[in-house]
Amino acid sequence: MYNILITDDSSTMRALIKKTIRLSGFQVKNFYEASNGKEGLEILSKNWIDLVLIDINMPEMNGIEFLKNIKSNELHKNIPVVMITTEGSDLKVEEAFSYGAGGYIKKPFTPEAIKKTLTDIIGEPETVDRDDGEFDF
Amino acid sequence: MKISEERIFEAINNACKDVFEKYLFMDLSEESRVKGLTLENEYYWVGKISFEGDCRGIVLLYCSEDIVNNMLNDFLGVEDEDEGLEIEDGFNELTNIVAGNILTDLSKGGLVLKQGLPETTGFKDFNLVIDPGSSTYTTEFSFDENRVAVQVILYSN
Repeated sequence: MYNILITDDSSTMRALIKKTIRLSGFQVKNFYEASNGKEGLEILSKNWIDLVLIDINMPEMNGIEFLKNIKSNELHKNIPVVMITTEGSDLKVEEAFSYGAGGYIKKPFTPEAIKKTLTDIIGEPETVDRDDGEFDF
Repeated sequence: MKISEERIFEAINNACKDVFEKYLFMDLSEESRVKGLTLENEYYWVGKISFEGDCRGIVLLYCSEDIVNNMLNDFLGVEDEDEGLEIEDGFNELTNIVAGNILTDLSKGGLVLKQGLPETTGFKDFNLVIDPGSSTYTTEFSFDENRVAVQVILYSN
């Protein structure tokens, strides 16, 4: 069971990501939500988090600054981080990886893209009660 | 840095197809593309996002009322039980994704473009003021009763 922090300034996108992760079969204990990096840091300081998903383009503290903060903090630097963003240019991807991001998903994403990236980072989801392995939207 | 008209229209079409097919399950085929567009049609919402870097400008997303009204429930897959969601937030995100895809496509040749944050306005209240000498590139799709249009405006400096 994972504690997952989703950081995105769009409540719609946070809801969509949560739903997609659930449908992918990952067993989530708690979803925490932040609308920018500052809120994300506050949540990290008070809770045990297993995985952080970060949008790059956010007000207050953007995703790259948030990522740098996480990776420069002794307590948080080992938490896996996945960037989920519209900005899929090579430069942005390289920048995110250079600061320690473990994965990168470009919007618009498919449920399969989320599942594959999360599986690469935290392992296969536990078996769920679905017989076709397909996603229903 | 100069971007060709062909590249801009290609980026708009690629982004529209990718986003509207993956998120909104709409088939934006060539047949749905409106020819000779002048944006004379009525829309409901307008999303706007600015960019700067090697060139400056804005990306605008126009949608008809039905698309916006049904977007969260029917298209994004977010259900009624998800509380606190607002149409405006969803439309902002849709604008963000469309613009991000266009700018990412345009930056493939080494162009550096930094994307701003999205804003949504009702079409009736929308008043676009652009710099003289700016170039405007518009693509519109029409299908069933719905209309979607995307504009990229490049400022002259």
